[in-house]
Amino acid sequence: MSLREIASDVTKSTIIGELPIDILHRILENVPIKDVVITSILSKQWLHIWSTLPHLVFDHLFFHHVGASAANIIRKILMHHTENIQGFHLISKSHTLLQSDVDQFIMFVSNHGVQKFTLDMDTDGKYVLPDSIFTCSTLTHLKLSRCMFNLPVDVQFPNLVSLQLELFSIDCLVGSNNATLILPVLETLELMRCFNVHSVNLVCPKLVNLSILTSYTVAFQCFNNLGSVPATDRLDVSLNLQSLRICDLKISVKCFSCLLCLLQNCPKLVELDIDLLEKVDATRNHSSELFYYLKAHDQVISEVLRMIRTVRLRKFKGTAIEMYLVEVIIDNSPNIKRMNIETVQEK
Amino acid sequence: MSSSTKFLTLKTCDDKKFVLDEAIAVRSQTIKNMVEDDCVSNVIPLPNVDSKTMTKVIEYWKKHSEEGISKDMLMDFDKAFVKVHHSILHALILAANFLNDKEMLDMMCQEVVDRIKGKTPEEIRKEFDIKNDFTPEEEEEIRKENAWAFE
Repeated sequence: MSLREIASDVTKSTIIGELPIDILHRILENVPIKDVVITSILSKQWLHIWSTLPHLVFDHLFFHHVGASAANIIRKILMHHTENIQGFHLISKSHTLLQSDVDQFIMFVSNHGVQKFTLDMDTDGKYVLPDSIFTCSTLTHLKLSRCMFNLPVDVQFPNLVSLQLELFSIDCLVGSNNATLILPVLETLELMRCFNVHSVNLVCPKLVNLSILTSYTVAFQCFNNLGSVPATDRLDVSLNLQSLRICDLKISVKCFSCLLCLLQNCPKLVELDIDLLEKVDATRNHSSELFYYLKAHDQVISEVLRMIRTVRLRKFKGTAIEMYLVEVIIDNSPNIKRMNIETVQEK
Repeated sequence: MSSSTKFLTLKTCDDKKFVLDEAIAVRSQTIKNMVEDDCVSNVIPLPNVDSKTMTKVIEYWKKHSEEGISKDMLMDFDKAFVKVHHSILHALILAANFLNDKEMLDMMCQEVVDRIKGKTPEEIRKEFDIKNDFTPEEEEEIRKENAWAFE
């Protein structure tokens, strides 16, 4: 469209309700769903705008307001909807929905082009996602809390770009003790306090951002397991990872050897962000053990830090082993541009 | 550093001309694309924006490009900037959309959000001069349909 044509489109209207529909959507997506529904009564022009909204967010405010009738109201809003539902978000840590209701909603939005789905409810960790979620090819962003997958054999999320799991558990079907979850285009993976993730081979060759916010080191064994993936399924030998964040990394040989192993698979890593957690029983022995471990592996260390540009160390306490760690990082990172060290805030 | 400051001339739909430092004007992605594609002759026409609105936009751009301005000062400026009649808000949203300045568009849209949130239908109608063209019966019907939202 030429500028002249756009110009002829301009009306002299100054009415908010006559803004282009994508701008009205942009506005209403930031209005609580209750107030969105209220706009239907403003005037005939506003009557149907709410039922075309691409993203539906049911938050704490909504669940608090409607109480026990939440599921019925959500169902009614979905039935009323006349366009594709690109985003569907159920977010209230202090409210529950029945498994059967959530199943029904997932089924519905899967059939209406859902791309982004969030489930963050008080489910007591008992909510099991329906298998239909694995066949939903439109999904690009998935954020799940307090629930679990029963992983069928060799499944994949073909278009998933971002996966965030909190207090999540992946269970494999009985009899298959090494399931593979293939995420061919996944770029961002965040694991917060997850369980059982180590029993799954996550194959994500396009991964760029990885955050492991958990104290369980087992969580990142899954990436070290690349070797155990059948050769045909192995999409890429090394990870494409550019940014890595690990919370509560214990200062121990076991954790650091795990980390080194992960870093060796990430030749493109440029950003490293680590929370250091000293074990309560961190004795002098522990430290000197790690000290010797780092010394013995300086070759590997200089290899994995070669590309690093940014390092952030948090919860830094200034112990001898931490100071040595800083020294090792600086000595072995020829490309480092910035290093942030954040100390622990004493309360 | 570049040796000289480049200036661009912008012409609004009511034929007013604005001469602006290129470094400031490229806050508009639309103008930036034109500059990068080298399709800027002498004057960039902005057939979608009138001079009154463009004056406000430039005021915003200049303030946000000031060197050494504190975050607090910018916040105060923004707060005052969005406190305008809804017809001006409307014009600024269309301008920000056309000029493709995401930051400004987000801020103006957020202002509309804040004027809708937590209000009764009557209050929203008053805020935006919306004429209620439903009959009382029709209005009652819609209220009943989604009674939970109107309680």
